[in-house]
Amino acid sequence: MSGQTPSAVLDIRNLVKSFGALRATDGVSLQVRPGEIHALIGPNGAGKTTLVAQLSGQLRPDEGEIVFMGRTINEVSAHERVGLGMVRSFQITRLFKSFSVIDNVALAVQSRQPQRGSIWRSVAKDQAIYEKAADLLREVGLFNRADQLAPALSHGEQRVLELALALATEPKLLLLDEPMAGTGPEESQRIVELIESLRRDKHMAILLVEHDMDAVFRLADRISVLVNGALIASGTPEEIRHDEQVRAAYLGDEVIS
Amino acid sequence: MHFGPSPASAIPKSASWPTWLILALAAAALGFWMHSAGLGYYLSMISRMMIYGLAACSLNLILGYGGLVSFGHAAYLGIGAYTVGILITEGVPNGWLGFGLAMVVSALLALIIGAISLRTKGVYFIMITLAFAQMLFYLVNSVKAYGGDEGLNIKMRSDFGLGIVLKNDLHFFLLVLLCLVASLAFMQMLMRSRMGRIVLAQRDDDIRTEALGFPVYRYQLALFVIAGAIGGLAGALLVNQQNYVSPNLMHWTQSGVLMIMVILGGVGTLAGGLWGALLLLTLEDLIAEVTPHWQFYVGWVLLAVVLLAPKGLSGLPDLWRRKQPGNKPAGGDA
Repeated sequence: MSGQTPSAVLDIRNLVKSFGALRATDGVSLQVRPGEIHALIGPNGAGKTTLVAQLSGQLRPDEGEIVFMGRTINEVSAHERVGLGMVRSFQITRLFKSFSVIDNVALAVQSRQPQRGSIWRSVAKDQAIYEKAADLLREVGLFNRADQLAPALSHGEQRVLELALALATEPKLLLLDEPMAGTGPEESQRIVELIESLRRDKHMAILLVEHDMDAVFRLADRISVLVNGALIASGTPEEIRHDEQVRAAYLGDEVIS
Repeated sequence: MHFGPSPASAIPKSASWPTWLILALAAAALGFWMHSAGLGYYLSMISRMMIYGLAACSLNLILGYGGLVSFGHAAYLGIGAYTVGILITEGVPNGWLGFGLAMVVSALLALIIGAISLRTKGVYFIMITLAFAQMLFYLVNSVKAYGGDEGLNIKMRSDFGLGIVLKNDLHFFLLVLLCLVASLAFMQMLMRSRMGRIVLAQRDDDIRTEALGFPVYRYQLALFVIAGAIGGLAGALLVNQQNYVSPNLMHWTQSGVLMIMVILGGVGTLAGGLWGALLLLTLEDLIAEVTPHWQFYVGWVLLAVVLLAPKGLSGLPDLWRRKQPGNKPAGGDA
């Protein structure tokens, strides 16, 4: 897990974040390369969400560096990171509940337009934005729900819409924080296929934080294992599967047999 | 297939221009009629209600659409009124200058107050906006040169030239109507713009909005400043209506009154503040003639509205439509 690949989309170097005596992030280093799905796994309370929050700019790390596309972004604000192309999704579904499905996506598309916050441009005349939003909804299979209010969707559909929002901002790196959280088998299958298509068709770099081991081992090119804030292993799914330390600390024999 | 905002979304529907025009012309016609029928006193009363309505609508912009519960909105009303009042006292009655400056000064004030208070959230935001407004209240109270706690009487009204005489009930009413219609039209345009959609989005979830790449704080601040400027405009009108401005106009209870107007009329609706102001001030006048304890009865009305019509007066047509047999609830309500 050493060796800084200059071509890495995301390069995390020795990141530390403490809350009082608790080192929630304890010297974490990892890279996400172009077109790669790098999965981050770990038991509850391992510090995954804290790490994602530092990457997306909600929390500031105490030490270390976050390098995105060759630029250190420790001091860059959350919204500016999105502008650079680093976009996150949320573990708890956070949709705009008073917007319809297509208006949710249209807002996300809007964030990439010139004059995105103009007071003089009526959204009713934003044909191009709505066409893009409609295309995206077709892509993820939510087009038939376009005019429903977001809370009217099923939980699985809400998870898909959550992903669609992130996609609409044209990310170079996606931070997916437990995209399968709370979904049933069929729904998580749908999301796995969606994430696969992102790598295949868009060559998108993805940092995937996930609890669903089936999904992780199916999707990931590389896996890092976080325990008590520190990485205890990093490697291909095959290596992680056979890593004694990982087996002992986290996975348990039956899960990965 | 349509490409545009869904009807179900919170993005305000556009009232068509003819509707605007007809309403405005009807109001103007009413003014002409009342003036010629010798009902000048009542016309002036309606003007006053419309001014409060304008102030309440500007509060609704941040409170209703923005979801930012500002408890110090009377400060802008007061600062607008004092700006015009002080200018007139100093021998500068020019209305264009006075009204313009009233808006600029209250916008600047909103910029300062907003820049600080928008860094907090929830109850802290409510308290800090309240604190700023009270600070200004005590500041104005202590400025003896302009009346201090006794308030400031103006010897003449703003002078716009062009044959406009604000002492004339009708002229004044038409000026208020013009300011109101222009402000409402502007607010509608704002809320149907790209910026308006961001404002609605951050009301639902500010962190999510930020995660889409929008600098939420800046949009909140811009909204705060716009609302402050319109509040200042209402203040400029008000001092001309009553020939007088006192620090009490900026007291926190005034901010509360504006809030009650917004709640009565409909939180997060374009003209809700106006309907709320008309209702509250009418009730106040009617009940006050019968009993000095009018606030007791107004309290019951407020309670009834909150419990029975959560969207206030603006929600009544919707409520009524839904009660009709055979009508289904509006699409996709959750």
